[in-house]
Amino acid sequence: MTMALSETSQVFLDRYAELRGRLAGADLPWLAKIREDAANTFRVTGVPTPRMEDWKYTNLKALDALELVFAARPAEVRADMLPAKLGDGPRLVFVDGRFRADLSDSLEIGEGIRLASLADLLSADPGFIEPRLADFGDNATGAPMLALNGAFQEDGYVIALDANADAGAAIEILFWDTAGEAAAVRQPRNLIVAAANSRAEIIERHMGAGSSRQFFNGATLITLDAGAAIGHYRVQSQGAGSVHVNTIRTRIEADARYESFILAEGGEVARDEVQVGLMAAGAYARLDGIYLADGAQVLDSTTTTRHAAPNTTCQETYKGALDGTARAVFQGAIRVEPGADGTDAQMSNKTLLLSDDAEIDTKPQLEIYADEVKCAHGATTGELDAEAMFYLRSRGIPEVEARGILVEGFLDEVTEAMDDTPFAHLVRGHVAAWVGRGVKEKEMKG
Amino acid sequence: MKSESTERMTAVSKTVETVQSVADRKYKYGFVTDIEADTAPKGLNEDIVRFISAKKDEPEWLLEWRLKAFRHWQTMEEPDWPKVSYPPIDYQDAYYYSAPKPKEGPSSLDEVDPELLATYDKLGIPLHEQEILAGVKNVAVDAVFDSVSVATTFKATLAKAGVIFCSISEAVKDHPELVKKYMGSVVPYSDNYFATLNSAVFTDGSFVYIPKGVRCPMELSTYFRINAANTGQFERTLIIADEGSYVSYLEGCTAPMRDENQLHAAVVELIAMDDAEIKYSTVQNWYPGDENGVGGIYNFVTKRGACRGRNSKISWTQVETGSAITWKYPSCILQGDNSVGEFYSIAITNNYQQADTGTKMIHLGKNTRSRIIAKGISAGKSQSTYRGLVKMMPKADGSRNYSQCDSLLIGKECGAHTVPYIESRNKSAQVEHEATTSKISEDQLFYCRQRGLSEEDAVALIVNGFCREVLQELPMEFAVEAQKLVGISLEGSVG
Repeated sequence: MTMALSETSQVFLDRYAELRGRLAGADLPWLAKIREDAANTFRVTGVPTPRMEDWKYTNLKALDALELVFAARPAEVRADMLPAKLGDGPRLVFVDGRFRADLSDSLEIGEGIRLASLADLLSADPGFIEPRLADFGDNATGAPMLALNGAFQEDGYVIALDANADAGAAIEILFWDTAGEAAAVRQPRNLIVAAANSRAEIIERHMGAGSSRQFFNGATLITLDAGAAIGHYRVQSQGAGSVHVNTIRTRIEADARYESFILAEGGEVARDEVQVGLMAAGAYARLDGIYLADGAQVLDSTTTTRHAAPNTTCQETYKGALDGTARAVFQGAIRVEPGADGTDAQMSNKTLLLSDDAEIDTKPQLEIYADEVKCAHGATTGELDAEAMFYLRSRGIPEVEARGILVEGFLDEVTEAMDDTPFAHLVRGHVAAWVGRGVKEKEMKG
Repeated sequence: MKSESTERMTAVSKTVETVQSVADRKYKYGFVTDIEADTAPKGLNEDIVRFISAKKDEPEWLLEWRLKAFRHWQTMEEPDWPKVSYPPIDYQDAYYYSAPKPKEGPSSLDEVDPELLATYDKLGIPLHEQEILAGVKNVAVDAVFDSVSVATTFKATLAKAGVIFCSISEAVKDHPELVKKYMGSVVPYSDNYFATLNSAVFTDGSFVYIPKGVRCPMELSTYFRINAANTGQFERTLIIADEGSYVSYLEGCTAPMRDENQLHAAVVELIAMDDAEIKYSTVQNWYPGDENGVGGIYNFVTKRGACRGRNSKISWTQVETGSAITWKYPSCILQGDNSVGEFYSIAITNNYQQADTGTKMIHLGKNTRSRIIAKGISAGKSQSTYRGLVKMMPKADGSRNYSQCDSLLIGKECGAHTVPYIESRNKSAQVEHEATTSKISEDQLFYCRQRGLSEEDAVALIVNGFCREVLQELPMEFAVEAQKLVGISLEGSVG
């Protein structure tokens, strides 16, 4: 049955029809087919609406109000305009979704480790890319944003680790947005390919110049072969008027470990979605997140964990604080397939409401078809503890500051679990800046 | 999925059809069907709705209400979101009215299916009661107790207290002002597919009104309402507890209920005014189908209570062991400040049973509190889902919710699912939700077996422990039978 598509959905399809012949790798028949199939999948539903269960709480109608620009913005970006590098590792820089070799840094980090842009590899080594892009289910119904990304895919980062390779210092990926009134449409597709027993830490930062505005619809496809270990850490601080959707699909094989962390604080409407498949015994995933929202922001954290084999483990902790009229959404689904005995899945979601008009919608979900399992989830919502507040106030700590101390303390459960790395410092800095923003305002006024 | 515009088109064309058919008949109240007949012809149309209403000698406003519901129902689509699957229901291939007929029952217990009798024995149902349940001829309900007629005594006691307890049809005749005021005020005729169907064709059910300040002197139960020996397919129950009153109502019984009607779509509405309390307990043991999943009742029920008044309280307790498919979400709308909603549930599924059940707690008033304790037990090839919503509205200052959903799995081929929705729009409201899933521990089983319990008894004991918090909410007589029922429902699930 065909469905009347929204105007915005039709804009995407029209632009796809116009651009498909010019996208990177358009001459590769297999890639053209993936794009075409993805476009057709997107065509079934168009941009998701709250009538779809998976999008019940997050409405992308904000997209309709954006002026969408598909072409690159002619902005000049120099290295000194970008935030400083986090550590000693390599850095890949994407400006408005396009890889910039000139701004990137130390990409040759050793034998068996490949850091590159997808667009470059599509011309340099398409044979390497083909099997990796092919089987990630762009056409799965129910994932229209992934399909939309699939239709337009042409650039993004590729991190490929040979067996036993160790990347050492964290690899930083910077997605930098330039300033502009119109919303630049950016749909990077990234690949992380970790062969057996390889390891790497990857830090993704999504940010931009002061008044940047984007429609970001990214997708990252990750495979971890037996024994591989990947840390995948993200900070999403996109410009205020942006719409941000990021879908991560990870397949974890025997004894491999995938750790995901997201700090979400940017954008007008943003969704970070992690789909994890634990495919063989010993596979482990840890999914953590912090969301901090104010104003009229809507921040959505959605996770799906599929335990497809015996003896797999998943631990998940998401916490957030909401102020103003902000709203946060947490959807966490744990699915234990028949025969996946020995599954251990724990999920927790806790939210602090700091204002009268903030809202949290949370939906932790268990779907279990095996009996030798340990599965639990918990969710709480509430305000700051009045007694703790009183305690701090009675010791002469001003209200805004006391509030900050308590919010930071609340989020500690997530940040404390992180090792003392440059990324942990970055996250703590963001948290401190967020809770302190009220203090600064007050100081300026007062 | 249909687009909005296609749906609208369908709705529009359906409305046109409906109006056309009404116009063709010029709104005449004449009936195509013979109202003297005991059974309405197969199928569902406006004439059938009129037939039911005429049979019950209902006032015009009620007929209009039924017709409004029926017309709305025709524009609706059957929900497909519950985690249950069943072949499509042909609503035209069913009878919607048949007068209760004296059944040609067996002449003694010797003629009753021995399997049924064995179950009665295990439940500890006395012999006399067994005869009634099995429909043995010439045994009146009164015989359950030795000397006095229970019915007479209990009617006198209730009348003295001013409690109205009768069938919904009697209430329509004797207390139309109450029925008109409250029916549909909690579950509107347009609420959902099955409730709307019920609104159009309901034929039976109970009506309870507890006057101001009265504590109902006894537990009310459909079981004792003489004319309710045959519970209808489309029951409608309305309970109103006026200011400062209290009532405890029991629905169903632990004995297995066989019924030839496969589809059951009941509606229950509860209304609690200031300081009033309603405690509603259900034991549902409809025929679940055989061990191959053949047959069994589809139980699609809408139950909702409104805590209208300050300090009011509504408490739902349910033990769901029967039915091939259970689809019910007894809910509380906490309107009055300081009102309290509770939901205690045990859902046991075995063989091919499917249950999608839970609750909704909608907090509107200040300092409202709700508590959800749901225990799901899945065995065999069954699927059990807890689905619930806790919603804190902006004015629900200082409100609290605590939810606990535990699932127990027995066997490798069953499923247990938890789908809670939590929506909070008030910072001073606190919501806590916890859910766990586990299996019966080998250690516990071993311990029980070592002490000489059979495997079935051991499972029953452990499961009863798992359900303890809910069982203790049931009225005492019920609780004892329910414990036995828990064991019986899981027969054949281990070993």
